Amino acid sequence: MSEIAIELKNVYKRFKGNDYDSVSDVSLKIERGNFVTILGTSGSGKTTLLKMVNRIYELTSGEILYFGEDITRLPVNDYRRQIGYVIQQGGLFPHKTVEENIAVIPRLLKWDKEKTGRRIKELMGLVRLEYDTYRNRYPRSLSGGEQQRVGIARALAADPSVMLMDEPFGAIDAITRGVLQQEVKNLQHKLGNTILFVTHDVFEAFLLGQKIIVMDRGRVQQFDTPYNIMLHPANEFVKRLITTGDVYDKLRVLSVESHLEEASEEEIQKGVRIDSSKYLNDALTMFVKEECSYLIVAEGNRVKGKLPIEYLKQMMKE
Amino acid sequence: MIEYISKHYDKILICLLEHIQITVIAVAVSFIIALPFGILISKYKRLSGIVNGVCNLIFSIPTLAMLVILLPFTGLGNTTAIVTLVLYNQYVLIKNIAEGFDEINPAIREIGLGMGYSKIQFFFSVEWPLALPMIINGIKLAAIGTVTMGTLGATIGAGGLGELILMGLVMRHWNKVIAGSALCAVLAFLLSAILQLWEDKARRKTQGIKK
Repeated sequence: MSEIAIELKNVYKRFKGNDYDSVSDVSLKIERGNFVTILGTSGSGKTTLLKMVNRIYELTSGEILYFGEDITRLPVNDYRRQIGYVIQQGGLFPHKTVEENIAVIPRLLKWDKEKTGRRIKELMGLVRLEYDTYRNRYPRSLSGGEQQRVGIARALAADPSVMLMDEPFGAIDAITRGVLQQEVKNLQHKLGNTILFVTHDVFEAFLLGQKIIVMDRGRVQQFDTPYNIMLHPANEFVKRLITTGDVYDKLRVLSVESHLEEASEEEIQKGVRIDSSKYLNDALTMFVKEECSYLIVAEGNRVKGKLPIEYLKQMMKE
Repeated sequence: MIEYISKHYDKILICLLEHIQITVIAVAVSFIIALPFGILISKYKRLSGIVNGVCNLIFSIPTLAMLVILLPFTGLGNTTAIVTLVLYNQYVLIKNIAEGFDEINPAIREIGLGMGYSKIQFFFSVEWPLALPMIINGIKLAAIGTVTMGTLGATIGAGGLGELILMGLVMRHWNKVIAGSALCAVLAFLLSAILQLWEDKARRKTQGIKK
């Protein structure tokens, strides 16, 4: 088992004046380098849970550990500077340029000018904003998608080991959202940060999360991989949540590696190949086009197994 | 009137300078007092009832009555006038300062907190520049009010352009009255125009529009 970045132990949160817990008895471990999405409807406690991690909200009881250390024992501002934070609409400072917004944490950490400048250039490259075009622009003159790119660059400035993202793409049009989702996924893959990503969008949660925390009424309903949640929902709530989506949406987020069977030599020789990075919807297209009963899943030349058409049929029936 | 001004420009100039002096001192002192109150009530909403109540009460006292109330404590002269003006200015200044800070988008505060700004750093780096246009707007309103209301200071010997107006009325010397009033209006207009430019500049900055 790898290192635990964030651990929650019996965490409760009750807001003043409420007679119910917004977050109730949550215990879970987030491994370092994992992309974890927190999925739930509004009022499920997903955002409250996230905001307890960087102490925007203080927990009522329980404990949150950051690499084994109780976060309430760490100096709060030093701790927060190690954690990237991205919110809906970006929350950029309107009176600061793109460059100044990204420089906020480096300045708080008292980096020298040269180091900060180099880092800004590097970050803008990472989030694909052209340095010379954008550095002196103000947030007001940027599109929603561009603002969110700046927001992400700003959060990444001090190379945080943990990133908290609170519905970052909630207010962005569908096309831009799709692009940003893919880029965040690639970025995380490249940089290896641990990400906690809150969303109410089932599709987004499955697309991005290596693991998903499904929340309802302050409690964790299930914490597992997308594959396991899809095929073995822990309870009625999770089942309902994942069946509300289109079948096709489901196929789009499940890898062709979700279900592999052993292939014989003959099948490997004759079978149509599909790359292991593809999703089940791609497989469906190929089944229709090639009129075959199985596909050989391979990464380059390395055969991983076969994907029978029966599996897809079964998925679509559920 | 022009003839009157050119003939007595030395006397008029003294009155004008006195008036400017009273205005500048009154507005500066008002601001120094109002700033902590404004910040305080924007942070602690519960206090706003009391502070606004007191300001309303002061604001509702007629100026001449206020001068009379203060006379036994501060005596004749411009101290009484300045104290009166400072008291009146609290209403508009505190309200504007608090509003400036209240207007800041809560998401900006949250992200600032989440990024690890200390309270003081956040205040100077983010809150102050964003609240500044509203604060300058308050200073502008206070300055205009001070220039006009400052003329009443003459009734207790505070000097300023009010003296020209008052003396003119007593002596039925209308040129004097008109000169005093006109200069007062010009002064108010100039101050308002300068502060408006400053306010606009600060507002453009908060909206991220280059000059």
